[in-house]
Parts: sequence; C-alpha cells; structure tokens
Amino acid sequence: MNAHTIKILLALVAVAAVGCRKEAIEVVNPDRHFCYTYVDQFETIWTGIDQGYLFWDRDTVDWDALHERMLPVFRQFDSKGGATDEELDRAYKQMVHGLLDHHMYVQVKNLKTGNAVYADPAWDEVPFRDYYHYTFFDQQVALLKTMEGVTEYNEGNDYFRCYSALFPGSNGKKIAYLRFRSFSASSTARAVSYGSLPAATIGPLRWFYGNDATNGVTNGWAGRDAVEAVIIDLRGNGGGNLEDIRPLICSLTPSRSDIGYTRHKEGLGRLDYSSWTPFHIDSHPNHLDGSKKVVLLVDVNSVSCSELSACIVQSMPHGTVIGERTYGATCPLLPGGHNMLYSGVFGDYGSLGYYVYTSNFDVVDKDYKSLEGVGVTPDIECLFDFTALQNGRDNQLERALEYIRTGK
Amino acid sequence: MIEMVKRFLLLMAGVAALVGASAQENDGTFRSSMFPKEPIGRWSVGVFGGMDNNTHVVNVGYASDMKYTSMGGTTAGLSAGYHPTGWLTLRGDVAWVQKNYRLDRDSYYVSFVYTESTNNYLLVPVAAEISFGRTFRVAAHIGAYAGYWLTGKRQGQSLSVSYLVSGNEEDTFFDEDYQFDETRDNRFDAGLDFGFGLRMAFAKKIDVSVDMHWYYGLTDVQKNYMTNLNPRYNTTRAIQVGISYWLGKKNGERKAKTEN
Repeated sequence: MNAHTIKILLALVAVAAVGCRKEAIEVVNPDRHFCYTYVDQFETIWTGIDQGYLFWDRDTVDWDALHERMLPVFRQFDSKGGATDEELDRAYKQMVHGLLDHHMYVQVKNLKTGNAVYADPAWDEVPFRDYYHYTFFDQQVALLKTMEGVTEYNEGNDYFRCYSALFPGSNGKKIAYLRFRSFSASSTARAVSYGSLPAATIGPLRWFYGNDATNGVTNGWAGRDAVEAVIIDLRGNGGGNLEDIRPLICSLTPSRSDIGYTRHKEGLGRLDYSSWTPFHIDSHPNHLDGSKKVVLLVDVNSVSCSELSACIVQSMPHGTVIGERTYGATCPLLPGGHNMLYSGVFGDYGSLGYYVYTSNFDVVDKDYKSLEGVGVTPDIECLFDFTALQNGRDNQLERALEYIRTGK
Repeated sequence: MIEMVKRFLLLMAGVAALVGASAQENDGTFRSSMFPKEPIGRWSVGVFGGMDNNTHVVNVGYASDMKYTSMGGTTAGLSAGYHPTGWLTLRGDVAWVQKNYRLDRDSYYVSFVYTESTNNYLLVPVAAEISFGRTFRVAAHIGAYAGYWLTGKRQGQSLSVSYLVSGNEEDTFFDEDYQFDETRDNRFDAGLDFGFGLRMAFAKKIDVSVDMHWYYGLTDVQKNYMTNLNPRYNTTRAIQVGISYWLGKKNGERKAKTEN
C-alpha cells in the first residue's frame, strides 16, 4: 500500500465517519395530537409523560418497560374494534400506577363509547395511608358556631366556601380563625369588585384581613391588638391559585419565607432540567408584625397550595403547623404550561379526547429534599378523630386552640 | 446546520487528499525540493493555545422556541509530532477544549430565560498531517480524538415560582457548577479532528504554527437512557497558535539530511 493510497483511505475514512452521528428522531407534540385509535391515544399520552413529566430523576416506574407491557393491550383494543369503559379505565390506571406526581390525573375519551375514563396515581397511594379519612369539611364547619366561647362567626356562600370566627385565647386575648375551601380568594374578590358576586361572598376574608380582603392584613381582626394568635384552617382545602399565597399566607409574617428551591424542565429529554433557583416568597407589604402566633391546621386532604402554605408557616419564627401529614402534591403547576415549559398539563379533552394534568415546577426544601408524594409533616401531629366528630367535637381544632392557650 | 457541517467536512477531506496528492510525482516519488527542511525520523514537541467556538447540535423537535446558539471558549494544550517522511507528520495532542453553548427561549412569557453552558473537555487527538512549502508550510491533518468531559458550569436565568408569586427577579438567576447526572451524561467524548494550518520556521529549532481544528463529535453527550432520545453532539472549531521545538539533531543537520 503506497502513500497515495493511504491518503485516499484517510480521506474516505473521514468522510464515512462524518455520517456516524445518529439520526434525529421526530416526536409528536403531545399537547395537540389528534388520535384516531387507542394506540394513538396511548402513544401520545405516553410520550407526553415521557418528555414532560417532572420526576424522572427519582420516580421508580420503568417507563420504557411499561410501554412494552401496555402497547399490546391498546393494540388489542384496536384490533377487536374497541374497549369497554372498564377495560380502558383499568388500562390507564395500570399505566400511571406508581407515578410520584400527586397532582397528576389522566382523562381519556373512550373512542367507542364516547365516555371519559380517569386515572390518578395518587389515588393508589393516599387512601392506603393508615391515617387516611374522607374530608368532613361540612360537618366540621357546622360545629364552629357551637364551640365554647366562639363569637363573631361569619360564613361566605357557595361561590367561595369560607368561614371565620373569634375564639377566646389566654389572658383575655382572642384568637382569630379563618377557614376556606380553595385558593380562589383573589379571583373571587375581583368578581365581587366587578359586581358579579355579592359582597357577602368574601365576608369572612374581610373580617379576617380587612376591607380589601386580599390586600394583606389591613383593618381586619387578624391585625388587631386584642388578637394574640391566628389560625388558618386548610383541612380539606384542595389548593388553587398561587396568587393567593402572598396576600393570605405571607401577610402573616414580616419576614421573607425561604422555602427551598425550584426548577423546571429544559428540554424534551426525561432528565433535561433547568438549574435550581431559590424559592423565596416576600412578605406582603401589609403584614402582621411577627408578635402573634400563627397556626396552620392541615390534614391528609390538604393539597397543593395548602401544602405550600404549610411549608411557609413552618418557616415563620412564630408559625406552627398542626394536624396530619398532607396529601403530597407539593409541586405547583401552571395550567397550559406545556407551551411554555414543555412539561406540565397537556392535551385537551374536548377537542382531542385526552387531557393530562401534571406538575411543571419541581420544589425541594432547603436540604434539597422533595415532599412530592410524601406531604408536609406537621410540627404537632393530631390525627382526625371520627368518634369525636360524631360526638360533636373537632379534636384537631381543639388541639390548635389548646396549643395557643397553653403554649404546648 | 448538520448538512452544512457535512459539506464542509467533505470539502476538507478532499482538500487533504489533494494536498497529499500534489506532493507526489507521477512515479510515486515525493518532490523533496518542496520540503527542504523536513526532519525525517525526528520528533518535535510544543504547546498551543487559542480560541474556539462550539455548536451544540440537537434536534429540538416541536419545541421550536428553544434556540441553541454557538458560544466561544478557550483551548490550550501540548503537542508532539513524529516525522516519518518529509511530508507526513504523525501528531498527538493533549488539549483542553471548551465546548460551550447557549440556550435561549424565544417565547413571550419566558423570553428572559436562558442558559449558558460552559463545558471543559480534555481531548487527546491523534492525526496524520501532510504539509508542503519552504519558509511557510501549509498543512492539513485528519485524525480522531478521544476525550473526557471534565467539568461544567451553568449560568443564566430561569423561570422560578418566586418570580411568579412575588416578582423576585433575583431568584431567576443562577450561576453554578454543573452537577453531572450519571444516568444522563455521557462524559466520554470521541470524534474526528481535522483541519489545516500554517507553519513557519521561527528559529533554529523552533517553529510557530497557526492551526484550524474541527473537533467533530461522534459520541452523543447523553447516554442512551430513554427510548425516544434525540441525540446531542458538539462540533467545535478552534484556532490554535502554537510553538514547537525540534528534538535531537540541529536544524542544519536535518536540512542536510533531507536534501541528500
């Protein structure tokens, strides 16, 4: 082999090697994909979770193996001309079983029957906790006005389930109490200001915070000298809009709440994440001065914003969380976030026949510990007592009052 | 972009072949007059440094508002060469090469979001270099490299919950060492090294050089950790200025030997 041949060979090897890069693959956009078969639906939802799910760095589900296992099931649905609602429901429950995201649910239209099936991985875990119980929101609030020493009882209406009351504290002082069912106070207050809802809807908020309702603590009972402590009761609160957090929760402390860190997806690869950035929430300009105790009541049915509130109260110098370990959906999301972050909610049930609701902001505490799927552990545990409720007592609220009055 | 790089590589391969062929007479012998100072059978060692520019090649698919752009970096290293003939040098380098890139989001709500990735690699390229000329020599090389992703940094702005809830813009910034993920990151790097350059005899035993390198990565920077994984490659262009020292016989001796 002479030198000329060697050089030609080198050139050929170089040219050949250039073609050694793997070809890029085209992936469907799971946010907007028309599905005409059961396999189409499965592949689209599988792909959306594959690319946009937030917890692949710690989830134990083998997503590729699941694809291999489940694809034949959906092929069979297509080949036999359809599936019953029960079959489809079972298939999707198997698909999402064990996923960590406690916000997640999958809603799919059965192409044959037109009915919706629904799968929620948290529902495979939460009800099996030994302290799990249904929400007894209505029964508990019905007891409020019957409790010893209660005055100033207020309630909203069905547009915004909200209740407030004044309890006797220690040394002649008072305890201001507020309970609401969802974090939709700001939008409700706006609707009231536009005249679309009656003012009574946010009556308890105004009583507690002041006339502005969602502008921090102004001239409401929470800020008055006669009040030594406040209780925010988030038992059975399913969460809602993040915009409520600052006026309703962060206004209870003068200091900034340092919760931990957040991140989001930064690409379509399972492990493509942004860097962690600090998760701080400033106090509201209209805030308490820090001299009052702040107690937050939570239970296993406290979800999402309720859990975030628990983290914030735990970071307050005078804050205490009482109740049960919460639901475990601690990572927030922006609806429609898939277009923005290529993670989170995707699909549209009405036009596409599928919809997946899932988180798009990962949250960890200051030690980079995730509470997703676990929940917030209260500072003082007090489990729900069904027998007490049957006997007309709310043992968890009683425990909160006892803590404020006695300091233990 | 990939097609452009491929076309350029083809062109370079062709140039390299022509350069080699031009140094050869029809009867297969080499025109030694074109390489009067070539030190046959001798070694040279040197150092080099320069700048580079890296392109992170990735198919973003439908995520069309993710814009990857090239970023500059620095490169430096040591080189060694063996000269078996008057026109051929077998080169081996140990090079620190930065393969940096930037990701911007081109979408209204997240238009401020970006990440600048600084990645330090240690590369060991081995190449065959052919050259011709007298005072100035023109060289072209083709070879391969193997390397290792040593460290990285990430700096930029990201969407944060703090920003959404209380408008804390300072909480959107980050600047940190890159934490490798054993599942995702493929720290082994290999690919082609090719390019061209100029050589000039600067002193008795010292040459100076300017080289253009293309480090064309053939290994995905990610491990094959998921089914529908779009590969990511780095293509790095570097301009390196070097100085090399001839070992062994004096310059005059090598001249005499090559002209005999």
